[in-house]
Amino acid sequence: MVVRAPSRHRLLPVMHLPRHFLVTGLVASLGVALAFVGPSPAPEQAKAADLVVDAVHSHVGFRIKHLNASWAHGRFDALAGTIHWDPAAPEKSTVELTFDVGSVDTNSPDRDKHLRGSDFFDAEQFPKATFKSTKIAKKGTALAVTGDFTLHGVTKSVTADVEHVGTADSPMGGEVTGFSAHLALKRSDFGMKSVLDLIGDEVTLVVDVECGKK
Amino acid sequence: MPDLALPFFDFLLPALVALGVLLFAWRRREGPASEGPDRGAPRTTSGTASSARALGAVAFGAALLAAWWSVFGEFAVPSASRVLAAKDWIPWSIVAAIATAGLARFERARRIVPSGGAPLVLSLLVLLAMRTRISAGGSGILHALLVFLVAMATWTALELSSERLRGPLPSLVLALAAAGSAVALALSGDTALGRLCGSLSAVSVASAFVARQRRVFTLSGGPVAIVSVVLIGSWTSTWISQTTPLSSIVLLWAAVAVPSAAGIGPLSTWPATRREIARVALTLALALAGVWIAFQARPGTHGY
Repeated sequence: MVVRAPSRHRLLPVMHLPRHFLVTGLVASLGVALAFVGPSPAPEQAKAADLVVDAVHSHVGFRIKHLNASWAHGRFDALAGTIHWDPAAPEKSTVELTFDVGSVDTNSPDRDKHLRGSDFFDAEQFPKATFKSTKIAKKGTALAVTGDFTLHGVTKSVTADVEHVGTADSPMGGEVTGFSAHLALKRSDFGMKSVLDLIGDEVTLVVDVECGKK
Repeated sequence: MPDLALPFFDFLLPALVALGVLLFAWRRREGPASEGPDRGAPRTTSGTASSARALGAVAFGAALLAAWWSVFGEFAVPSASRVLAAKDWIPWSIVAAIATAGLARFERARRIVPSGGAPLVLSLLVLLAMRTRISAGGSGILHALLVFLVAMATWTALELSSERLRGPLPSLVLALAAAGSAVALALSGDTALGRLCGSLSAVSVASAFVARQRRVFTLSGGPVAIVSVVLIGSWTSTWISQTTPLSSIVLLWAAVAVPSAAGIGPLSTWPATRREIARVALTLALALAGVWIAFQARPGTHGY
């Protein structure tokens, strides 16, 4: 009895397809698989965009010396702003930020009330603090953002060190971009000279913002 | 050892400045030989002299400008990069009050700026200090009008009582009322303006000393305008900043205006000693009530 070997075509039915079909199919499958599990393809050159600050994922904090012995911390809760961000040419970017000084929170309601009074922020007369950039320059991997900072009715030119933290796709949709800024200033320069012997003059502002496209 | 710099620069130095200028302004001068029983006796020629009153404005003004510098460390100048707070207009109003008191010496100027220019200075102070509210319109304009009327009532009561009541007690009553404002504002967290009112109290004590030395001394025609500017400016600022309770501010205002008005009104027929005791008691009661309200509403220890 002669046993015929099973047809090659019966074992691998696809083998009867032309060879170029097989190659194309494999490459396409690999591409699809990589798209799901592999590294992202190289991003195309990011474009400039108008961003708006997401207050829920942003924070304005400050620290100041207390009795020249320790650092006291506080924050402002109401922040808003817009950023024109050009990743390819950051120096062409612009920033405008505003926060309500009346929203100051130092974890002590009594102290916050005093800070809102005329000894410090005078929040009734000067409810907003604003920053508007005038010049942005590269500083190593970071940026030096110079702008007009208005606080307590006084406008002064200041320079903040800003880091572009990153850009990511949000699971909620859209792309988000984050920045972190450090700004050192003297409160006496802004007409707040009360109890300089108890509360320090130098204040460090830390501004962390997350922005989405408008 | 306690730091004595603050009481020295806030209170003692302004008081000494005022004392020096007031003693100079109201110094006894040797007049021309008198006839009659007073022949050859020293004669006070400056009693009614407008120059002495103008120098009185200089005394109070310079003292309180020194106190301002001690408390705030600057005279804020309005510019494109600086919007002044309500309180920042106080020193400029003091300068304006000194200038108008000086102008009031001249007959022609008196026609242009009547009453020593005090109403003009007070109206400017209210307009500038409340410009934000005024520009908002509506109730803001009404508030400004009300503050101006309060300012005029304060100045009028102080001016008339200072003109009619002599001796050291009017100055001491004012010192008491200013001290009440100082304590109430400081308790409320408006420590800087509280210190300024404390300086006014110290300067008033200095003027009481001068009034004791020179019976013809008066606070009217200059010093009263400065006093009104400081008090109205401080009360307006603390009210706008919502630092001191309004009821406390009203009582502190009453502690200044009511005893002054009473001294030339219902109490005017009383004997001088009894009248002044009543004025002191009235001032004390109203000022303490204002302080008590501020004490009740004080923001704890400010967390310090």
